[in-house]
Amino acid sequence: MASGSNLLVVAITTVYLLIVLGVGHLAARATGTSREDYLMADRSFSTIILLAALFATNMTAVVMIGAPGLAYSAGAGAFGFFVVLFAFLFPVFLMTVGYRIWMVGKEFGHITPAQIINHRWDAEYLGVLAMVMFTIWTIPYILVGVQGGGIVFEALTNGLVPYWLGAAIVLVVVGGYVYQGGMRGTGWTNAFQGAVFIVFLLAMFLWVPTRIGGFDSATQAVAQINDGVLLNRGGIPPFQPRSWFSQGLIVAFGAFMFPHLFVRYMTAKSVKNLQQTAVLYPIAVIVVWTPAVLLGFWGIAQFPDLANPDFILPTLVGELLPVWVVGFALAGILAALMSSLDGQVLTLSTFFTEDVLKEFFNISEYREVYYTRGFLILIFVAAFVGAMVTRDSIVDTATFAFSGFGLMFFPICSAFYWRRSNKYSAYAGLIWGFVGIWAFELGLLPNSLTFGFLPFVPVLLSQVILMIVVAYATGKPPKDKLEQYEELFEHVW
Amino acid sequence: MIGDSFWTPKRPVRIALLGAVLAMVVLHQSELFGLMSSQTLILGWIPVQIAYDVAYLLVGTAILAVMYLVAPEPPSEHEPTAGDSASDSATGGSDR
Repeated sequence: MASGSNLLVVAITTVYLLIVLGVGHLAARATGTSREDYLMADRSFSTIILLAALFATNMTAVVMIGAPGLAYSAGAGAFGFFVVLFAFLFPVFLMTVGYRIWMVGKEFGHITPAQIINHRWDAEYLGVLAMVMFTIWTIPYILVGVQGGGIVFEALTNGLVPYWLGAAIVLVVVGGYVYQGGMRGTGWTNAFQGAVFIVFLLAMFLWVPTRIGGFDSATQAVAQINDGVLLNRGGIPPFQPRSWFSQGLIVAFGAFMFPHLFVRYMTAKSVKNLQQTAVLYPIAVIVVWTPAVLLGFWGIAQFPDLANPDFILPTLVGELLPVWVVGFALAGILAALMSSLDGQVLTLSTFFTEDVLKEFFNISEYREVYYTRGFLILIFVAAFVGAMVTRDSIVDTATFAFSGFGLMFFPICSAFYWRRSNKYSAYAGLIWGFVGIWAFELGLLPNSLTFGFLPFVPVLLSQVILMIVVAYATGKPPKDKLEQYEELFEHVW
Repeated sequence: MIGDSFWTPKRPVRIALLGAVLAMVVLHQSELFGLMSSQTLILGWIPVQIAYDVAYLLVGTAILAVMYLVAPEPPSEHEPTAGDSASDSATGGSDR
C-alpha cells in the first residue's frame, strides 16, 4: 500500500493542509478575543471574502463528490435538478430577506437567529427550539463533509490513508484553524480554499476529456448507452416535473436557512457587499457545477461499474491522470469539504454559547469565547463518531437535511415581513415543519398525500396555512417591537 | 407587510422585477421548452439540458443585476464609515 506514488499523493496533500493551517494562523493573528471579533469577524467581510464565505461554505462535499456522483447515476439532468433553481433564488433571498437579516444584526447586535426571533416576538424559549432544530439538521450535513474526507483519502491513496484516518485528518485541520481564528479564520481560509477547488475543477474539466478522446467523444460515449437516456430528464424518475420542482425549492429554501450562512449574512461590512455577492453568486455556481456535473456524466461510459457513484471523481482522476495530479485532486476536494465544515461547527458552537449559556447562565464575554472553543472540540469528536457509523450516499444525506432547514424558512423569516406574525405562529410553524417531514420519512403519513411532489412541498404549504390560522387565533405581537421593526425596515426590501 | 417589501411591490419597475423572479421559478421546468426527452447536443458535446441550465442562470444573473441597481439605498447610519473603505463596492443605483 505504501508505494512511492501513494506517498507522493500524501506529501502533496500534507503541504496543502499546512498552507491552510498557515492561512488560518494569519487570520487568528488578526482576531482579537472579543465576542464580536471571534464569532462575527467584527462584521467586516468585504464582497470577495463574503462571496468566498457564502459560496465555498455552500459547495461542500455535495459539489465535489455528490454532483459528479448524481450525474454518474442519473445523467445530464443532475445540474438542473439539484442546483439551478437554488442558484437563482438564493441570491434573490440574499438581496431581500438577507438585507433585513443584516439590518437586524447591525441595529440590535444579534448574532444568532434565535436571538432575532426571541427579540422580535418577545419570546423566551422560541429561540432555543429553533437552535435545537438547526443543530439536529446540521449534524447530518457535517457528517457529509467528514464522510467525504474519509472517502477521498481512502480512494486517492489506494487505502494508504484509510477512511477513519482521512476523516480524522479533516477534522483536526479544520479544528486547528477554526479554534484559533473563529469567524475570520473561516472567512480567510474559505477564500483560499474556494480558489483552490475552483481551479482544480476547471483543470480537471479541461484535462480529463483529453484522456478519453476529447469533449465530443466523451459525450458520444454516454449517448450510446440505452439510446441516450442519460442525455435528458425523460427516462429518469427523480427528474419528472413534480419532483424536479420540489427539489429546486428544497435546495433554495434549505440552503438559505443554513445556520452557518444565516450568521454570515450579518458579517457583511455593508449592504452593498451583500448585494454584490448576490449578483456574482449564479456565475460562481456555473463555474463550479458545470464541470463537476460533466465530469460525472462522462464517467458513466468510462467506468460503468462503480459500486458507489460518489467515487466517480476520485476514480476519474486516479485512473486517467498522472499520480502527482492525484495529490492536487485530493487537496482540491478537501478544500471544498473543509470550507463547509468550518462554518458549520463554528456556528453550532456559537449557538450553544449565545443561545444557551449566555441566555440562561449569564457568562462573561471572555468565558463565552472559551466555551465556544470547548464546544467546537465536542462537535468534532461527535462528528468523527458519526462518520464511523454512517455511510449513506452524500446527496441522500444532504437532501433530507435541506428539507429540514427549508421548513424553518417561513417560521423564522416571517419575523422580517409579516406584521401579524407572533411567537405562537412561529412555534406552530417550526414544530409542524419538523414533525411533518419526519412523519413522511418514517411512513406515518402516506405518500399519496404528496400528490407526486416530494414531501417538502405539502408540508411547506400546510405549514404556511397553519401559521396563518394560529396567528389570527392568538394575540397580536408586542406593539413596541413591531414599531421598532417597522421603523427599521421603512425603506428596506 | 412590514416596510417597503420587494415581495409586495407597488411601483411598475418593482412589479416587473417580482414578475420576472416568479417567471424564473416556472421556467426552471425545462419541459416547457420541449427539453424533457431532447437528445440535442450543443457544439456537439453539451447536452441541451445543461446548456439550458447555464443560459437560465445567465438570465438570472441579469435579473439580479437589475435588482441591485433598483434596490433602495440602505439608511446612512448603517453604511460603513470612511475608515471601513467599501472600496470594492461598485456604485449602486438609487431607489426608482
